[in-house]
Amino acid sequence: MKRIRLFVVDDHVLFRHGLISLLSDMPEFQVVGEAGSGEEALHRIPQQDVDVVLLDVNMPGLNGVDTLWALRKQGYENQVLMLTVSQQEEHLIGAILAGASGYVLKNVEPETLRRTLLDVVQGKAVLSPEMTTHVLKIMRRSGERQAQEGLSKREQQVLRCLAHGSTTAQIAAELYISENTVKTHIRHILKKLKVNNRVEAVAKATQEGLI
Amino acid sequence: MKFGKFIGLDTFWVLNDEMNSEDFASALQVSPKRPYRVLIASANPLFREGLRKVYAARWEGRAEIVGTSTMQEALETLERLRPDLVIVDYDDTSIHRQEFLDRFLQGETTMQVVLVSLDAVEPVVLYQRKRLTAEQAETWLFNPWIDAYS
Repeated sequence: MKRIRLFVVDDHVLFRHGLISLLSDMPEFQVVGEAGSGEEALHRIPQQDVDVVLLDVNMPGLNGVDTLWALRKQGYENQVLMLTVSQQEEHLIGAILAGASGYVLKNVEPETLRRTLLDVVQGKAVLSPEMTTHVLKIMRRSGERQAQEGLSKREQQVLRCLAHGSTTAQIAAELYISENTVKTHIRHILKKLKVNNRVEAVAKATQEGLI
Repeated sequence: MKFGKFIGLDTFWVLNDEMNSEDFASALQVSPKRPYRVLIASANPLFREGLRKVYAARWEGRAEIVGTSTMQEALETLERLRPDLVIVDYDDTSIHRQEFLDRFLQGETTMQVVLVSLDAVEPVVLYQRKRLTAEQAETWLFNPWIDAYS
């Protein structure tokens, strides 16, 4: 059986050596190299035949995300799995955008890491459950932003009038449109902002800096 | 062995590739006449099991190395094993530092504790039970790596 060749990048000597020791005991894997910094990794990885790079994020100097960007810039296309204690969204997003195959927290069981690496080799994307929550939050926020950005110029005018406490009739008069048209705009606003009434719409718009 | 930056503790060093078991045993003042007793307290299985394997290989039967994943388990093992060395995962929030420090201070043997952080750039801080000052104990409870960053 051809073993999967791994390269470990982590500035923490104790953790790196422990990880290599664990991986070396797993029959599917062969650790072919290691590096204690992003800079060292950039120099050494392209010179070796590696199937999967395990890459830490928090490292002095070049961090893991920047290292991954630099590797991609060098034309390195193989799988890279982020293995980190960082749950920061910016690191997660950075790693995904840079083309990481997965983002796994260091608190995983060795057996989970083994299965994760086998998945990564098969081209699957993997995330720690804790990070999946972050991804959902990011997507939700993005969806909300899109909805808010989707307010038409007229809807934004109506929203501002609502914030000033204007009634439907007052808004209609101010904007030279019918009351029915104002009600239609308000319905659309409520739908786009995902709120139930005018008060909530104004509150959310104020909170989100839309008005 | 390369020694790292002193931060007002007895000894503070960075473990690196050049460090072998003799260096470590010597630095820790452990008698080579009997097996070292080592406790690794960490809820992080990769860290705990990895470190256990590394030291088991380096000390080749000359050490009894036990890993624990909970505070309760660590305290019970501390009592039963009476280790020469305790390696504590400083980032493990399940470990109650004050309680662990209190247990560490009990007794008259020369037990030593190495605090290890996966978050800190400088990875190791060593405390020796019989020489621990109040100031050092306070540093242990908060962040021993603060000075190392400054």
